[in-house]
Amino acid sequence: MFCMIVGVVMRIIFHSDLNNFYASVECLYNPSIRNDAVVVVGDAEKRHGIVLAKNGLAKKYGIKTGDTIWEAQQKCPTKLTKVVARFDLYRKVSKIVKDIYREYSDRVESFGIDEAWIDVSERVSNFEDAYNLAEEIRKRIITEVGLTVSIGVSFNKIFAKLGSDLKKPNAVSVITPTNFKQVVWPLKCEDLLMVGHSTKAKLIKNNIKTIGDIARAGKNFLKQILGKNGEKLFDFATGKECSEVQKVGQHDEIKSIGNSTTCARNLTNINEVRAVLYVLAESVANRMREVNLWASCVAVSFKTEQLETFERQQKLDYPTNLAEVIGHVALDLFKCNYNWEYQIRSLGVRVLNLCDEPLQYNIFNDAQTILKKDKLERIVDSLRGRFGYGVIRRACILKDDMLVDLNPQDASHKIHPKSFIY
Amino acid sequence: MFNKKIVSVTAKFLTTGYIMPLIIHYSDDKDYFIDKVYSCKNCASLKVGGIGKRYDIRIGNKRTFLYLEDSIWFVEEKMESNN
Ligand SMILES: [Mg+2]
Repeated sequence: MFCMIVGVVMRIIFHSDLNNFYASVECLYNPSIRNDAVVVVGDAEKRHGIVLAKNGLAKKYGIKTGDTIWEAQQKCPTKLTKVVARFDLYRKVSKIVKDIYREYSDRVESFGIDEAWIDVSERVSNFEDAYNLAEEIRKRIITEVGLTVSIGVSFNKIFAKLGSDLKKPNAVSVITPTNFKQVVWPLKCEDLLMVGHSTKAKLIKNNIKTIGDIARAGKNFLKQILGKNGEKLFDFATGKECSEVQKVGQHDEIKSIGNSTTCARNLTNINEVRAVLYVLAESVANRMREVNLWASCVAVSFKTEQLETFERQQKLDYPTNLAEVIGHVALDLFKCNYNWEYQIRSLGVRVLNLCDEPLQYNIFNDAQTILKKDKLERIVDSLRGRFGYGVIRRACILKDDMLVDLNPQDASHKIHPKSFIY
Repeated sequence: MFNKKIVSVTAKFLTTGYIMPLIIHYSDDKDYFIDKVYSCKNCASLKVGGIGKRYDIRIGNKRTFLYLEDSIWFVEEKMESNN
């Protein structure tokens, strides 16, 4: 059953977000800390451990995710309870919650460990029923899992996500085709998914401050100042966004993400191999960021001109979603495992052991550096989304344009995306 | 105040897949025979912290809850207050 609005089939989509997820799980399992300010940290022993999550009380003290433990302590000198993250437990609880969502729809798309979109169009046909259904889910999660969620109910994924941010914790918010101008348009432009620092700066420069301003600016003007993304933002702000809720993370969680290519001509030296591996690594990392996953194992595969194939894997000390790391490991693996008896015909890069969270990366690496690199790579993604793949390339790739003049995300090019395993 | 008391349990695995608890081995010298299971629901224990199946049971003339989380059984043990 679908509901009709001026002759168009309307969808009903929930976005459900577990409130203060890690901290809430810790408080559930340890009743004695429930009235404390609680922070979940990577590793309390390490000096540069950082706050991965906090509960409502810690939030009141101004503690933020990403604060160092020392900073958090300064903000809350009296009694701050630190607990070390237990990711296995969070994954277990997350699965229980998502299995509840899946009782209502086969279209459940995970977004990280604590968020998901649920397409319930086939179950409810108006927003009153949708609200009641969302309330039912909210109450079930309290009883069955002991946690609270905020649920946004709307007719597209963007407004559903916005809705889940409107009231926290433990609430349901509805954004309909008739109320979105009153509810959504007064909100700040950066509340919209995909509006990061640089986009926000450009919008503000053009006196576009709210989501309503984005809508009123018009598609053409936004395209002028933001390129392709501008058109997207216009669709977001006006409720025209229509992407499907994917069946991601159902029974077959994504096990690996990979990409491979048969080169235009055989590769004869390590510099050529390096160039191709980095292109592949970038497309893999880009894909990982799209689905919000990190990997702790990298595999490289290659085929010689004799059609012999090899695959070698390397576990990482900490999970990554950075092209630089993936490319580096892939290249190392190749160097260590091939003696150039024959030329190379094709290459592949794949990541596995995927997880939702960068587990305790701070132990092994300077968190700030990693966060910066992650940000840089996201910027690259967005530039490419706007101006095309060629706009930014690694220095090592620039050397041989002919060899790697391909867009690994575009199936029409030479890259064969068959090893994208979903 | 409540305490999460992990207990060992004798149970029957039915052909339907349902796990029917029969005896709670509370301590070395104390076994409780379960006279009736009223219901079994997915439920969190807010009192002692846990997420699992909650069996609503009767032992003699007392009603209580028995939880199964993964393969660990526990009960919500009431603690005597000192003051
Ligand atoms: Mg959340």
